[in-house]
Amino acid sequence: MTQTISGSDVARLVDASLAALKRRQNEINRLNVFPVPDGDTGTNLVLTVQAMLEELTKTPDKSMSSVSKAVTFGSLMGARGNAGVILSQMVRGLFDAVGSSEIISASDIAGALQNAVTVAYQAVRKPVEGTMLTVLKDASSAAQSPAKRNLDIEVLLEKILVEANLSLDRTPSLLPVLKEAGVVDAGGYGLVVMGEGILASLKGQELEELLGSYAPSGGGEEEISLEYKYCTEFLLKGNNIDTENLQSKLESLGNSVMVVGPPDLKRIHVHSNTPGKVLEIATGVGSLSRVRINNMEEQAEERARMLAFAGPKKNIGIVAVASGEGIKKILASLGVEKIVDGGQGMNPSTAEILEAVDEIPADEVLILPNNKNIVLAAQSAIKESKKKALVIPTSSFLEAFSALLAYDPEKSLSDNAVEMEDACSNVKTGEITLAVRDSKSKAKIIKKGDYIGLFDHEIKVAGKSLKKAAQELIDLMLDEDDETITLLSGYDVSINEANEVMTAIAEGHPDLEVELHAGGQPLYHLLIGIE
Amino acid sequence: MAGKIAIVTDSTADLPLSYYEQHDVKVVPLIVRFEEETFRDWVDIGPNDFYKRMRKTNVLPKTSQPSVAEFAQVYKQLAAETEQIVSIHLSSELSGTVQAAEIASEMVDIPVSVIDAKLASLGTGLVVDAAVRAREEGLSFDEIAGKAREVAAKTKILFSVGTLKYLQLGGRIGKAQALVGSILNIKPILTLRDGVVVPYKKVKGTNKVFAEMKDFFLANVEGEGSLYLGFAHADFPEGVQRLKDVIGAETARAASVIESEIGCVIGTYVGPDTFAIVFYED
Repeated sequence: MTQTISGSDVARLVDASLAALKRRQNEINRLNVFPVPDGDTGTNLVLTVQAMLEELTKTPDKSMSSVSKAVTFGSLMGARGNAGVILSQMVRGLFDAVGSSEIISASDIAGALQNAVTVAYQAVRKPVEGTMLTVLKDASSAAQSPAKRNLDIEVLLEKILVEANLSLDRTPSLLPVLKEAGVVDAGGYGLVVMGEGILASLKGQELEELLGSYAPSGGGEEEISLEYKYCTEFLLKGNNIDTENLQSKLESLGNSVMVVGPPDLKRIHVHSNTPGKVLEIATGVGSLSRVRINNMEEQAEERARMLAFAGPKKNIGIVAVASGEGIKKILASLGVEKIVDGGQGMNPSTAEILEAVDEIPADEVLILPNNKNIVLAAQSAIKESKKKALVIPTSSFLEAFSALLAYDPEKSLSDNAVEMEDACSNVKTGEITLAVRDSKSKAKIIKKGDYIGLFDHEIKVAGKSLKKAAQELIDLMLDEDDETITLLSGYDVSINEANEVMTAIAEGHPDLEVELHAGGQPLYHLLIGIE
Repeated sequence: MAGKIAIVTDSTADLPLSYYEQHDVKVVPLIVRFEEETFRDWVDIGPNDFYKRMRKTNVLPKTSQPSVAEFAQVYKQLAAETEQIVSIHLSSELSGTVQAAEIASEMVDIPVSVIDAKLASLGTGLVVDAAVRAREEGLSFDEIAGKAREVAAKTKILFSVGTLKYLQLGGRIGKAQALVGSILNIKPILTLRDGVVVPYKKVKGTNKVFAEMKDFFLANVEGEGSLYLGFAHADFPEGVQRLKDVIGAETARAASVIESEIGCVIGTYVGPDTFAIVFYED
C-alpha cells in the first residue's frame, strides 16, 4: 500500500530491478536480434543497473536530489551497449522530472515516465518502433490517467506492467527482424523484467509470487493461465457518459479497468473473461468503434514459446582451452563461444574451466581441453557443473580444429561428441620447440638450443634449423592418404621465418595443401597438423 | 510441337541449350549486367566466357529477373498454341522470378500452373525434365504439375563453391553465413533447404569434399526405382569428373544423367569453380 516513494527507497528498488534482471539475464541475451544480434542485451542491462547501484551505495546522502544525481550519473557512466545507453537516458528523463521533490506519488511517477519517454526518444538518432522505446512509451501512456486517480503506487505500476507486457508482445509486429527471429524485443523485455522486480519489492513479495498473480509473465513453456483472459479495448461515443457507473459495472466483470476521455468519447480498456458482456454493457451506453479483443493467454503462451524458442538455437555451447592470440581467434571463428586461457603452460584450474562451463549461455556444453594434461581437469569440472557437458579429449589445437569442423548444431550433444572424437582421430599432430638442455633420445644427441620435433610424444628429430626440423618431422609424419598440412607458428617465430618454413614445405610437397597461420602460442615454435 | 500442354521454365534451370529445343520447353531468360553490358543468361553469353571474365575482374555482375511483361508475352504466345501451361522456376527465396510468373499467369485465359521448385540451377532443370517426361507419357495437366511438385520436393542438391565470397556479396548466402570468416582454409559443402542456401558440412582438403559428397549421395539413394542424376559446374569440369569417378557405379545405373554448366545468373552468386550434383529417385 505505497502512496509515496522517497529518496531512501530508491536504492532498494534499483537493487530489486537488478536482481530480477540477473535472474533473466540469459533469457534476455537469447532474444537479442536488433539492432545487432550480438546477444548481450541482458548482460548490458545488468551491468548498467549494477553501475547505478554502485554509485548509489557510494552516496551517503539519501535525499531524493542526491539520489537522483547518483543514479543518473551511475547509469550514464556505466551504460553498456545500446540497451544500456537507452536505459540510462530513460533513467535521466525519469529522475530529471522528479527534480528535487523529496516525496513522489503516483502522479509524479506518471509525469516522470512521460519525461523519460521524451528524453529517450530524443537521445536516439533514429528511434525505431518495436524496441524498448515503444514499450516505455506504451507503458507510460497507460500510466497517465490512472495516476490522476490517486492510486497506490503498486496499483499504478501493475497497470503499467500490464500495458508494457502487451506492448512487448506487439513488438514483433512492429519490427520485422523480430518477427523473423520469432522473438520479442530484448531491451523491451529487460524493461518489463526490471518493472517486475520493482513491483515485487514494493509489494513485499518474492518475484515468483508476483509473477503468478498479475499478468503474462513469459519464460518457460508451461501453460500460462491468467485470472482474466481477454483484453478488450474500444472507443465509446455517447452523450455525457457516466464514467463512475460504467467503471464500476466493468469492474464487476474483471480488472485493469480504464475509462478515460472527455464526456462524449471514452477510451475503454478491460481485462475480463467475458468480453461479450463488456461490449454489451458498453453498447447500452453509447456506440462502439475500434474494438480490439486480445486473448492474453495466447499472447503470453506465444511469448513464452518465443522466449523458450530463442533458447534451442544456442542449445550447445563450446568451451575450449587455448593459449596464443591467433589460435584463440581461429577457435572463435570456428564456433567456440568461451575460451579458457591456458597460460604459458596450458594448465588452467578446474575452477576456471568450471566457470566457463557455467557462464556459457547454453544448457549443454562441449569442452575441448586441447592438451592431454587438461583432460582430467576438464572432466573434473564437468562433475561439478549442473549442466550436461561432455569432454572431447583433444590433445592439440589441430585436433580441436578438425573436431569443430565436424560439429553440427542440429545434432545432439552425444552425437556431436561421437563425430568430433572421430574427427580428432584423423589428425596427426607434430610439435617443434627448443631443447632446454642437452639430452639423448633414441640415438639422437640433442644440444641445448636445438630445435626438437615431437610426434606421438616422442622426440623424433633434432637440429639447428627450424625449417629443417619441420621438414624432417613432416616427412616422418606423412603417409599416403594425407592431403593437408596446417602450420601454426608460435609467439617466438617471426612472420618471415614462418613463411620461409611454409614455402619450403609447400615446395617439397606440391600435391598437398599447405596452410600457415600465426598461432602465437607459447613454447612451441611450430605446431603441425596433418590429415 | 508437343501437343496441348506447354512447359515453361527460366534460364536458371541450366539445362544444356539443346535440351529445350529437343523437348519443346520454353525458356524465359534472366538478365546479367556486367561491366556496362547486358546479357540474357545463356543466350547472349555462354558460361565459359562469363566465368573467364568473372575471374579477371573485381566487379560483381548484377542480375535481374524477367519482368511480368516478359512472362505475360510468353504465356500469351503459348496460349495461342496450347491449352495449359506448366511453368517451373527457381526458388522464390533466391529470386522474384516465380512471383513475376504468378502475376503474369493471371493475365492469360488458359490455366497456368506456376511451380516454385525451391531449387536452383540443374535442380530446377531436373524438375523440368520430370515434367517433360510426364508430358511424354501422356499424363494430364494436373498430373504433370503434380509430378513436377513431387520431384521438386524430393530432389537433393549438394554443391561446393571455390569461395563463399560470391554468395555473400550477392546476398544469397542464407544460413551459410555462419561459415564465413573461419580463418582456416575450409571447404564448405552447401545445399538448399526450403529454397535457402544452408551449410551441409565443412571439410579440410579437397579430397574430403568428394568423399563427403559421395557419402551424402549414398545415404540419400535407396537403390530402388529409377535414379535421375544431374551434374553441373562453373568452369570446373574437373570437379564434376572427379565426382562422377568417386560415385562410380551409381552413375552407370542411372536412368538419366544430365551434365551441364552452371549458367551466368546462378554463377553470379556461386562464382567459378563451383560444382554440383542433383538427384532424385522415382
